[in-house]
Amino acid sequence: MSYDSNFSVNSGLTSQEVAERRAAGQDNNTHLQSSRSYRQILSENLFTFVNGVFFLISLVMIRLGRISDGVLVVIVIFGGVLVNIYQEIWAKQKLDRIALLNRPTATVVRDGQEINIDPNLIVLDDILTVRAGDQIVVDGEIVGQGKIEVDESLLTGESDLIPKKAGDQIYSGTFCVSGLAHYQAQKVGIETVAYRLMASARTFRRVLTSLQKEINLLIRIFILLACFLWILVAISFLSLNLSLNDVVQKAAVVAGLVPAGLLLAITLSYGLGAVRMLGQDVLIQQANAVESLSDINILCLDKTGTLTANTIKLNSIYPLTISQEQLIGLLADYNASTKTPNKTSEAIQMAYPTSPRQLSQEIAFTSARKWSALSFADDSASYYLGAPEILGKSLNLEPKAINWINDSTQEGLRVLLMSRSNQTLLENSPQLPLDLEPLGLVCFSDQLRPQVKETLTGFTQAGIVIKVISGDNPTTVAAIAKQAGLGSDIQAISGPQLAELEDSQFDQAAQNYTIFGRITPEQKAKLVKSLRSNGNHVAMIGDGVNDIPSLKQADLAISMESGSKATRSVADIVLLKDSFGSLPHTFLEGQRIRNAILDVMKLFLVRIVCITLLIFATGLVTEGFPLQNKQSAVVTLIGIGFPTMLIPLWAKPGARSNRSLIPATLNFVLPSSITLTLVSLLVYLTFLVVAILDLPATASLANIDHSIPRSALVCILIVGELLLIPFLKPPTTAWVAGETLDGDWRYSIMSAVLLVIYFLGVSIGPFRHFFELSPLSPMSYLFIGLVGLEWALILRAIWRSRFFDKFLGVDLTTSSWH
Amino acid sequence: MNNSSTRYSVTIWETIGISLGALGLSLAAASHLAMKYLNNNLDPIRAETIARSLIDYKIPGGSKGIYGINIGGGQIAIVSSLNNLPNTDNPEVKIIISKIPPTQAENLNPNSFSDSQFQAISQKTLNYEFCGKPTDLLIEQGQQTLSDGVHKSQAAQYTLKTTVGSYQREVIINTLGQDSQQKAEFILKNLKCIVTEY
Repeated sequence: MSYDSNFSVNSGLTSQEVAERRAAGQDNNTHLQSSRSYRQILSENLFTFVNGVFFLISLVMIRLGRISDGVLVVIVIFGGVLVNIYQEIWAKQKLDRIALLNRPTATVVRDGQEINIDPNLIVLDDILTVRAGDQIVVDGEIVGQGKIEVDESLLTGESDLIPKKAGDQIYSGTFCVSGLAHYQAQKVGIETVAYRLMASARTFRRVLTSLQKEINLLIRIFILLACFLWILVAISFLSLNLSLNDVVQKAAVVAGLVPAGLLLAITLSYGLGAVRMLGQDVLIQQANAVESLSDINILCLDKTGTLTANTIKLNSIYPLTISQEQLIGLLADYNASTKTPNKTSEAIQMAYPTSPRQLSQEIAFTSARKWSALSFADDSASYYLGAPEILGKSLNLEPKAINWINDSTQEGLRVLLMSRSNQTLLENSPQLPLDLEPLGLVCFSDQLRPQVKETLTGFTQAGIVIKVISGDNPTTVAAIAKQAGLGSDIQAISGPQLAELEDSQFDQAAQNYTIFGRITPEQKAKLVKSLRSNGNHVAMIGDGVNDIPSLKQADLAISMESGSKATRSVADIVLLKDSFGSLPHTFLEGQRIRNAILDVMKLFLVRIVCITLLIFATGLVTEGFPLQNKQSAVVTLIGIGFPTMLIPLWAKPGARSNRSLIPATLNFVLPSSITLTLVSLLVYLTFLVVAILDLPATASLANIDHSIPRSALVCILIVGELLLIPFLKPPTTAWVAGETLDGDWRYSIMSAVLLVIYFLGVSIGPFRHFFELSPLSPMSYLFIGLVGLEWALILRAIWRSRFFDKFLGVDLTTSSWH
Repeated sequence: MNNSSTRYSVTIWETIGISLGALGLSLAAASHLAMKYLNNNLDPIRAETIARSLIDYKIPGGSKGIYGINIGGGQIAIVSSLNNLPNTDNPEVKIIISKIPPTQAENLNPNSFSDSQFQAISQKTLNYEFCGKPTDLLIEQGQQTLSDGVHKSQAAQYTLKTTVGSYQREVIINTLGQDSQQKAEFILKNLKCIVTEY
């Protein structure tokens, strides 16, 4: 579609024409969400396999009249889901507010007047005015005499400015950097490039971290185990003539083997991380994002908006034929007086501020020409500022100056040459004169984002490989990467070179090179995919729409707040205020979350293994089930539930083991669960024998009162689990056996407080009755306490002597399943 | 995770301490159970309750429980007369009553509770009905060395054994004195089997 000459640039559409187009639906009124929808958040959190299984269990319990058991399951599971939903909705609302604040306005010409309107009110054929700094809000064609330079980096990834004149197409989502022009709206609403890109960006994306995958696997294994036991329970219903209540009880205890509370603990850890990160200007959109960051080993950056703040600063000057003071004065005047400021002139003005002088002529800078010129009203000479390789054609530079230029370029710096001519400047005929006299050189550097250097150094030290993938020239990107401290031996490759490689060579290149320049959005995504397929955990930081395909391929997508709306909407993490320096904090928070989850996982595994073994063991030596459902619940609540709520609060960051979850927990879980099972079984059997001996003279074994043995079992399990906490987080060297010294007393104090709470609870009738517990005699409590202490000493000796390592013939502290 | 074993080894004293602790706790638990077991078994009321749950009996002059055991589904009770043989510690009548599941027959043998000092001189077997089932009644007559280990008394021992349901029922009546046979006959006639299961 070409410019409709029926409309004048100066008059634009009439009100009636606007109304007609709006009535015909040719307006820009489209609603596209700037974040995930409420429906999406709810469905992603609610409708999961694990939630479904637990919901079914709770329904069965409620149906069988065990309402409190059913409600307990619902609370544990859906409490976690609610926390997740709340956190994600909160993040969504925050993003929506950001989108609202960043919403651009548009200047249209209507009835011969310029008016500012909401972009939604633009109609087809509207004439819009665009100035430096304006966002282009609909697709269209430049009309009239105006010329502008457009930053299309958010669409293409290339930071080079694109000159646009009459007849050139401009696209929504880009920015006018310099100049002034009018354009006619040719595509509005859902037809615009920005809308199409954002709509395609909204594909569902949820990537689980390796920890989540392993935990999901574990949960599924335990669900399988539970299914197996449920089948046995069902058979026992027929073979042992059990009552329906007994069967439900057993089924419920078996259901308790599935670590529902673990999901809640993970959710709490993630939620806590999200809250902590907000103080660091990091907005978490996906609950697992913070933990995911601690999991990555490759961090991909987009140069334009990530490493650099998209502004440049004056680095140094090099006077040639005039003094330094004269050069500074001239640069200051030049840039204070120009009518077409750009980033370079702003950088000079920032360094050398002064008042503007009156101009007689000016030729604006364009990317194609690579120079600008002006002449002052009170000065007969003309001054030229531009690329040395262009201006240098018209003059001779001394070798020293050429070396200075080469050295600066090698360092990734941008050099401009200031020169003078005595010929009159002709605005309509931008030609370089032949009598140019070099005055001095000015060197600029891309302004790195605050703390970029420190952040990248931190990541490198943490063993994370940095890769810069950009639409810019590889040499420029490499220079900026060097500026950012990525080292001098980094290797660069360009998109066209990559395009010629076969898949295996591509994978190799993705692995070996650090700098990737002139990369298309598709190549960017392919690079990320290739890195992931080679077993890497990849995080991608981007800001532009061109980054979206690669962000969607990454394990973790990070976007800048200043990036496009579409990019923010697909990101797992949004760096508010473009706070790149917050990433190390996020990384540490991720480590903290991972460590907390690992600790929680160990406690859960001990409990699950212990209860499972007890079910089988008591099945072998007695006819009864070791615990009732509520008794199992109280063991979980006090021994695991409360600790797992507090552990994430106190967890510390620290280097994570490269091993997967189970091998990493084996050294702690194996000895403790086996020994605790044995000791608990002995205590249970001791009290069971007492119960048998206490049977009335004529009563049969079927009349055994199991409440006391079960209460004793609950007691020893709780004592054991609480004694494990100081071993998990040793406050002193006396507790160091399976884990390293932590020195934090809070865990041990919590453990002691929980023990007191348990004993207080048991002494309170309603608590005791709810959990179907019986009070034991003081001597029984003393006996169980002593058994617990003895077990702790045995366990410590087992860990310290590495009994299990020697017995199994493997080093449990370092073994891997791979 | 550190290699804790290199920094924190287990000393021999720690091993001894832990072992002694474990031994102490095991002994404490075992002795508590043993004491409870023995106290239960030697509780006269409990013993007589077990006996009367198996057999209804009458002993001239009254009865008292001596020993009762209810374990593994099997029950054995020993009751005796209140009266002792004059000038001795030996009760005139002692009845051993048992109800043993076949699986426990080897572990719980009521004959091991019968008086080993009894020496049969003559014995005969009669047909009898016990617990509603025809069975053999073993009648033995002879002498029994008294508890002082020196004197002897005339004694009679009647043994009844049958299987009711899945349990083996046995009654051993042991009587002392000149009228030991009459006492045994009296008790035998007044025995009433209590069957609660088949």
